[in-house]
Amino acid sequence: MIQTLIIIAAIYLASLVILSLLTRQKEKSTSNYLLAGSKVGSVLGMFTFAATLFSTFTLIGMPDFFRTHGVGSWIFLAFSDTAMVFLIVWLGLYVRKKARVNNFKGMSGLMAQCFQSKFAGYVTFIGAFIFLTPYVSIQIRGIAIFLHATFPEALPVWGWASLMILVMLLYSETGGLKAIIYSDMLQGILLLIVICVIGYNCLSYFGNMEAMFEQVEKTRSELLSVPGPQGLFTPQFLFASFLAIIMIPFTQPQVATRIIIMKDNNSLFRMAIGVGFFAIVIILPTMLIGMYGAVKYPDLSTADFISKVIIDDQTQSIAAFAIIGLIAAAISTSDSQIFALGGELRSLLDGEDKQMLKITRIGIVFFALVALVFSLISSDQLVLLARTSFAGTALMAPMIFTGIFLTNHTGKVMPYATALSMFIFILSLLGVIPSFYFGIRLDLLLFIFVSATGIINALLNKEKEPVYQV
Amino acid sequence: MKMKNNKQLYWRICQVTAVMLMVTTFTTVVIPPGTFAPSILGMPYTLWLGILVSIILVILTYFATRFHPDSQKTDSE
Repeated sequence: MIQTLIIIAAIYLASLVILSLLTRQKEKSTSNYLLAGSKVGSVLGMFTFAATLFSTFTLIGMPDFFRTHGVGSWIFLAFSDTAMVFLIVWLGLYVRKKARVNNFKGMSGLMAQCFQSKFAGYVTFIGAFIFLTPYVSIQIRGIAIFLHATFPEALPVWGWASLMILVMLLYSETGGLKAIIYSDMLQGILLLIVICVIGYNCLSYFGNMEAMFEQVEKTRSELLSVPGPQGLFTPQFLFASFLAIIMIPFTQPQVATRIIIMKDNNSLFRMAIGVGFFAIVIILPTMLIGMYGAVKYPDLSTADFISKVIIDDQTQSIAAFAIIGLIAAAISTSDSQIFALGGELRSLLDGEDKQMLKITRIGIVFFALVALVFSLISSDQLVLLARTSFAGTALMAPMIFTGIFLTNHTGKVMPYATALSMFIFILSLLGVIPSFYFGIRLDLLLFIFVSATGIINALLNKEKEPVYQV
Repeated sequence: MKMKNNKQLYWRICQVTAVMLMVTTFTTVVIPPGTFAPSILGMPYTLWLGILVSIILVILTYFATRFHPDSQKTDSE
């Protein structure tokens, strides 16, 4: 298999090099380097959006989530994702309009302009940095651990992690967002094909769907309903996760940027529908892989289970493609996130564009190094850490919506309320304060608090300021 | 004018249907605890209904793009 893997890896790396060279601009500006000229069509948009959204978290985390927690995982992610695309159609145009009016460079800068307060920009930037860094890190860590488990003699975990960071920095620093978008397309297609083939093979092992679920029922019947064997999928957990996930297009800068850089409104609409289908098509095989794991490998660790299912149980060429698919999945999400943090930094900087872009590029390297360090010390709970990232950034949603939907600034109430909520949420994550109050999750309570503050704020400003119109 | 009103009405219907679907999904209609019957093609209840609801939402998204009040507008309008 090593020979096949080396050939595929060489083709993959060569494709990345070609794409980054093709998209390289001699004269770099914020518009062409950080925003890809804002002329992305629907097909390219769908793949870059999907590759950014579906990551290691999908390829490793979701099969493991199905294997451990059962069919409620579908509601947790697939349903939430399809609801998210409806929200993109509903609210995406408002975001684009506001972004255009305010000469968008990043969500932090946009918020600073909307609230006429640098503090709002800092809250957005710090929130994105704090909650995206662990998310980037778990992508890298997940794959590094997997590669180390598969090839223990080759490199240590930190070696694999450093290699991936180096690859993504090389092509994103060279070609900017355009290189990332084109490589996302390549990685998205690879991820989709690999996951579908493995899912099909897992189903073939049982013969058909009925036989598969019969086996699952015999092995662990709790997997076939909510809340699952460990009681995770309570309606409250699923609803809080749903809220966090549907807010992603507006609160996670790497995704929000992809809404804004679409060529026109119709491209955005077509992209949204495509992402909805992509979500269903890609999560369905993860369910099949998870159920297969529940029957065959119920007690293995995540890394061992993934190693068995995508390498040992597949033909050599599929296993080789799967390994590259996994690396591609991790890189395609992480590079977008790190690059987006750079964009956020740029949006807060005032000064000559060329000079600010230089600072931004140094910032991107810094963010990548922070993610690398964090990846070596973070936990292995891939999906739950990702969910924490979604929940953390979701707390910014009411502030972002207030900024977008109200014509003028509405004081500093929302930035302060958001900062306070994020601070309290972080305290609960650190174990300083409890994460449940009166039987309700703290992230849900905080979301309700910031949303209520936003609504009251909007009502108080209603007479003074008409609601924003597209 | 009438066409514009119809479009607005269909857009509202899409919005209301989507919100109702989202809310219903978190009730025992879609996620009844400990229940996996009735099954379809062997798939347990929450799974097949979850898949069905997701597909309906994507189809609804398609119609929403057709009836969105600004679907025909260019960015500069």
